[in-house]
Amino acid sequence: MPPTCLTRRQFLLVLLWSVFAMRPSRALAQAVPAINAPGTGPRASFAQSLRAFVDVLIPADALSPAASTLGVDVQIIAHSKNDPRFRRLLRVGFKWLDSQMPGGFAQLPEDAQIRVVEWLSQADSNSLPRRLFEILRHESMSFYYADHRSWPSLGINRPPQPIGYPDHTI
Amino acid sequence: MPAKDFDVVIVGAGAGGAAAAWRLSTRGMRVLVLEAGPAYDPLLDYKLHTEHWEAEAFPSKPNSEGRYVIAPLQTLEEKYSDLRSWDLISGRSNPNARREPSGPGYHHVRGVGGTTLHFTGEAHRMHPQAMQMRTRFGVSADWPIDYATLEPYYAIAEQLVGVAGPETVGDRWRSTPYPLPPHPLNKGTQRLGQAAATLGLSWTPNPRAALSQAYDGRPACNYCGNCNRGCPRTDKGSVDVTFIRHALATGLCEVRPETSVTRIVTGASGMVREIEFVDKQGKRSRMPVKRLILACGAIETPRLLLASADATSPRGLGNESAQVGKNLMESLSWVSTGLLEESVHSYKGLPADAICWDYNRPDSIPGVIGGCRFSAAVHEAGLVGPINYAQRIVPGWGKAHKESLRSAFGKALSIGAIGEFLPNARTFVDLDPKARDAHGLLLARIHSQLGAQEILKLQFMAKTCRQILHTAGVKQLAEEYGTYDFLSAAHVFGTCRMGVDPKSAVVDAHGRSHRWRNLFICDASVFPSSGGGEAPSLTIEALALRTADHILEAKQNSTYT
Repeated sequence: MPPTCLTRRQFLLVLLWSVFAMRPSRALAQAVPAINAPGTGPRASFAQSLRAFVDVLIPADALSPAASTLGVDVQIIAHSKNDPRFRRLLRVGFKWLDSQMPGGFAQLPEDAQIRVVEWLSQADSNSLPRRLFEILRHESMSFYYADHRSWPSLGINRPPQPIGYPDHTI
Repeated sequence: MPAKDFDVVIVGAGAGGAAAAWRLSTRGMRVLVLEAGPAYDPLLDYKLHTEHWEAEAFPSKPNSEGRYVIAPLQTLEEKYSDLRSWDLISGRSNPNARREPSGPGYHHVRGVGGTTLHFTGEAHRMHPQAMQMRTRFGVSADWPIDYATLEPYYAIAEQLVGVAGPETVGDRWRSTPYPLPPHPLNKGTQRLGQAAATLGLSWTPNPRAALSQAYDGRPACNYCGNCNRGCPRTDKGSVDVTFIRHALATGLCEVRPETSVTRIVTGASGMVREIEFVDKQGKRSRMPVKRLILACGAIETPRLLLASADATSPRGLGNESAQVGKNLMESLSWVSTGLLEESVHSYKGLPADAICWDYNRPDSIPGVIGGCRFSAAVHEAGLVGPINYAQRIVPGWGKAHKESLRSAFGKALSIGAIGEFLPNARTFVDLDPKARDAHGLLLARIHSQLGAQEILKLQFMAKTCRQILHTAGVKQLAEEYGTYDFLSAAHVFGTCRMGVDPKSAVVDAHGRSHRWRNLFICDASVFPSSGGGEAPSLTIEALALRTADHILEAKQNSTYT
């Protein structure tokens, strides 16, 4: 089942978790002490945090651009407008995430952002952090690799039609 | 054409309805086809030429998806944990304690062309022994006709569709060669073939309803690998571009999309008299019928019969045998996927281009009744582009993930198996007591229970798939998906079984209702057994052609009018 297809049960579990856990996470602070450092500028907005998050998931490298360069964060927000559960999960999830650090997720240095995302990826499978990570990973990969600018480094430069793959046997 | 002038009304424009419409209209009968779903335009509706092709599944249009209810499914047992679906990213795909529907559970397209619009396009004949399951093995029911009776109709359907197949015939003798030569095998499929040979298994080109050469005004396949997303070239032999196109060309066939039949009304003398329907504009009407063919598939056909109960048929129309909705057989399937160490560009080429029939005969799997088949499956598994690789089989994130994805792309190798499902008392279709569609008709409710034979077969299928993949050079599996923990049925059968005895069958050997003399069924609901993994469309078409010939013959003799 794709991670975005939250069942009602999963969704309720996540919301329940968020109600009781909307406070600083000691485990996260221990894993990533840098989150306690004061922010260096104005507190990050949800959009800024989402943008930073997707760029941790899919950063730029020598062969292809970062997720935000292809508008992945903007597309995720647009997609959430058609899916109330996804929208709620994003809102609650980033509210929780940004509450864990004085300046919000986007204010963290890159290496600390990576460690926070790593912590989320290993959290309990029914927890808000883990669901947030899984859904954002799933959606980010979908929007990023649907963009032709991500394709050349994979050896493809066009959709399957109209040319097809006449060279399929070699 | 005024309704009273149609010689035959067909409900459903899928494989069976389309084949019947073609045969009847090309023989001079005036045919009306009513289809609940929309018409598709291959050039406009299919999106394989666009940037977002991979994120799009087969396109949904208004009224293209039917609604069903799935009754609670069976509890899963930990002793069968090796049959649970999983992938490298999410772990267990179904973490629950019960078998769950995968998406809608029953994968069906409503539209002019029916499920052939998104089918892979395997064009299989039934194994002759799979039509005699009661006599030979004491299970299911025998077909009231044998392979030899159906063979001429298979040949006609293959010519219409333009099937590309091999010279070797195995257990399925042929009166004529396939109309087109087989397709060349993909590089990944060649690799699977080498592994099969190492294991002593056969591996032959799969008979495919996709053109290996230009044929009948349609171009040859260009091997884009995405038959299931809808073929914009029309080389795939879906019935909209084959049977229906030619039926319409006669000028004697009319197809009305987005028209839902809601009731069949009976008359005197053992004949159905008229149908009630709702047209595209939402207007309810009645129409007289001289002959009525139901071709709505093994879920919707029994639904319509059960919903048409009246004083003469209180248990549902044509249900004197109490078999309408019973004997449902769903899809038993398994797919294993792994990564090779070098790219074979496995996303390219024709899906399911090769097949192993070695275990298809019903007694060929040790200790199990009913056969199965194995085929190349990477395209049907959806591993045809970077999104699916990234989401399902290449774990991680960040820069390392990008590099892993680049390295993995084109290396996925999948092999799939489909096996026989034996009917049982807990697998059937009835009407949900409450849920209704937009027209007020009660929804079909699907009940399914895997029996011991099905689980044994799944174990054999999974074990063999893993063995072939490992022999092909896959060191580690990346994903497995099966129907032990998911109801994921594309092929469903049996809910209006055909048979000689009116006490145990709904229709006779010609697809005619035992009770109503001008009512016929032309879809997979008439199958007495599912076969050992054969794709059903060609058999549905062959049966429908035979039913049409029976109607033509009867018309000459002035029967059923």
